[in-house]
Amino acid sequence: MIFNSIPFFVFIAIFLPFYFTMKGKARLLLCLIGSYIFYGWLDYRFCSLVAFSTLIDYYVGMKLENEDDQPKRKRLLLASMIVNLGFLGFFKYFNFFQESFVSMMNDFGMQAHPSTLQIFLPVGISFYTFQSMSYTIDVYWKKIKVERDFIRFATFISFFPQLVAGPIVRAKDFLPQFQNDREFSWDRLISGTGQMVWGFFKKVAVADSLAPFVDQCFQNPEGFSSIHLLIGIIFYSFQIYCDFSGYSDIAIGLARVLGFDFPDNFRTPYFSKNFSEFWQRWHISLSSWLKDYLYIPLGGSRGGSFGSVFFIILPLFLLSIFWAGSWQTALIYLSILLLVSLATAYWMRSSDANRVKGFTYMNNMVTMLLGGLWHGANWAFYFWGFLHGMYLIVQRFLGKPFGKLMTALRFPKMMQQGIDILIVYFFTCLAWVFFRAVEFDVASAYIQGIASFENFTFGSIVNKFWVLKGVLLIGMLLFVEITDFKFNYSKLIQTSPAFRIASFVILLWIIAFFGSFGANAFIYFQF
Amino acid sequence: MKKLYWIFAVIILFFIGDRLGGYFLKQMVSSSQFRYSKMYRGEADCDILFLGNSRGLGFYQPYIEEVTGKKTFNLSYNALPMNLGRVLLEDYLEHNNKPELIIVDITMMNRVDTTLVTGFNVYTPYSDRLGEMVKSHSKNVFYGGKLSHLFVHNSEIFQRAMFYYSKTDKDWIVDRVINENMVNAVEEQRPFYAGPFDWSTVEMMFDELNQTVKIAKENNIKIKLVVSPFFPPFAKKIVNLEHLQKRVKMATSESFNKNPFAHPYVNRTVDTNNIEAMTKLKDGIEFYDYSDALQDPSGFGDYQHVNIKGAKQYIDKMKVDGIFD
Repeated sequence: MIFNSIPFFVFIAIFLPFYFTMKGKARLLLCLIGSYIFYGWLDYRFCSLVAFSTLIDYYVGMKLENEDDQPKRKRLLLASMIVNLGFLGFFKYFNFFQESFVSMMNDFGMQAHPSTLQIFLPVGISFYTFQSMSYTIDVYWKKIKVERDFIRFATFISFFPQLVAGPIVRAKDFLPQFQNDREFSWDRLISGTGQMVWGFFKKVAVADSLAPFVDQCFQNPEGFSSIHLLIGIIFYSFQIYCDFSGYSDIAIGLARVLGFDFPDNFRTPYFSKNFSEFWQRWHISLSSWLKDYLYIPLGGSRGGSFGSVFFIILPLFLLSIFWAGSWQTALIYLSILLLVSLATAYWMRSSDANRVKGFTYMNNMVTMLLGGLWHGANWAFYFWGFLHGMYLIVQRFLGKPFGKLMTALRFPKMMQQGIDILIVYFFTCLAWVFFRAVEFDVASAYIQGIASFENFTFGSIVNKFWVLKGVLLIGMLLFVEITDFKFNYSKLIQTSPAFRIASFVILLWIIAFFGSFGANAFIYFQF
Repeated sequence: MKKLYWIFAVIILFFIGDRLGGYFLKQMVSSSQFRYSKMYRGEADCDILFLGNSRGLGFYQPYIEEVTGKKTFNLSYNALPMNLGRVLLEDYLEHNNKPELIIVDITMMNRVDTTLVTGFNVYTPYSDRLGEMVKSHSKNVFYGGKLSHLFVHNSEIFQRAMFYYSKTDKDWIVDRVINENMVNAVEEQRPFYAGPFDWSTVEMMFDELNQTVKIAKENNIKIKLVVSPFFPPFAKKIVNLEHLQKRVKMATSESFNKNPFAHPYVNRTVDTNNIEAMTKLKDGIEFYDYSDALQDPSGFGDYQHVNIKGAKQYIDKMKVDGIFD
């Protein structure tokens, strides 16, 4: 079931009265059944996967609670990881590795045929797998106590508002909220509904209105002028932001109506002044997950291990071969890779400080590469992660000198911040080209198309009405996000009935007038 | 209970604003200079009426009026399909005087764009026929329009009506020259099917063409079918013109029936008896093929659309061939 569809509104209209009239176990059971109906509506066959992950992690959690022997505890954790990541890997990456292998073999003149087995990706598998894994890891680390109530645990894993596309909620934050019945509250209803309506505006009005223009650009980048493609990628940056953060807003708002608090998943990311800040504002639940369960265990900014080096080098090695297309080019790429690796190793050996710095960069890179791969089974996602890893590393090198340059030029502070924001936005958009294009050929044609500056005239834009509508909607979005810093609308909605009524009504008018009601799926469903 | 009031207030205010806004926008649309607004106002009388999709915008009215001295009106719109074209033609004849001649670019049989058809919801208050057409493509859009009058105006058609609120759309045409990237990539383009290429719409499209011709004949209006120019190297990518000619001739015949024919475009079994039957029909109309009539690349905005320069060359050729007579 998707939020922007009629079945969802019917479902929620039936679900809510039962939810608030039931208590205790009955309510939990209702949530669980409701969540499986919600998920099964998309494809009932995949319910069994959620159920199996739930069973495994419940069992492992119980065993971990009663086990003091460290090696045995480690084995239990490993078993849970293998099952969870095994499912994720199989469903998400089987087709990818098969196709990549065949393509690579064919590129090098060897005959290889893909098997006829095509695996369909279960919706939201990355989200609930990470949520489930965080529980087991936290129990292993003894950060949280095991959840003995199976219904409560199963509801935590499958809770429908965030099951399909997040936010990824931690067991330590979410499970305690199931301890007591959440009472109906008008304040929660008001603020939750407000956030949902805002989420619908982002998704139905903004994201879905931008989508046709973006799709057209990426289908055939050769067919459009430089300015058209430039607008296309700017639109995509807002499309993906509004699509994903719109889903998060609806999920968070719905959960709040039901009495639960989810953490924020987005905080106006395109206003970030550096890339570290960007990742504290974009898909926060995933980046904080990766930080807590990957970056810090790898050593964070305090060192690391050569295991992470291997993790970077191996996929880059494979990518180089795959990307090269011929033995000669592959050799050149691999030589460059080898030289960079040797130079880095030499530099790291020169002092302890460099060694720590070197590992920090690698930990950053590993985290971003995995973040990229989390999105999907494609080299383009991997490359997107690589670019963001590079941004973080280059920022560590150039951040301070750049700051000094800005100070020396005596730009006003506001202007300096504006330049920082534009730089981050520019490079974020560059990475989005790969993310959206999926195929390197298309991404390359797209970037070449923009960089050619051919036909950089307003007249060369095709479908100017789409552009006009898109600019208008992005303008509305930015206006609200910028002025929110000053007025704090979410608080105003609570305290001022006149503002609440006016803002709800205006948003509903805008949705009716600009919205796209084709029940378009959310982009992040594919992840 | 007091807490409930704001919900009622939101609902009531939404509908009040929706109705007021809807009424205001409807007034704007009805007084626009956009082609369909003029048509439903009955201010679109002409000698030559054009019908087509975006390629039909190549019937550049200012130049045609200059070279023929005749009044023209164009019903063409981006991605306008044959079935919607037929409905608009009927509505045109209902609200305006009959033209002498109708010229149809039959590549409008190419595809059906549901979003485009439902976008015409904005004109459904003026035509039950159009309402039925929108409803047949999307009940949600049709009934959504009954629920929210703002939603009725949620389409590109409305935006165009506003764009042309106080200026004529007669000179609406692609205003660019095909870019170098496109020129270089033309060889990589897949084969192009000038007729309907979606198996599910083939029967409907030919049936609608038959009805369109029938309507013209019943009203004693001459009707001519054309295929407008394509970018020359792209024209070579069209694979089915010969077969399409036969099918169009058969579909425009009075003895046309809707028996399924073999689909000629997807390499299915071709029923040779039917092809024979098609060629024997004498009363059907053949289309004028201008698909590769222009050779100057600078006359095109892209592979499928002429710009003003190309349109003028095209019109000159049509004039020589007596199409406007």
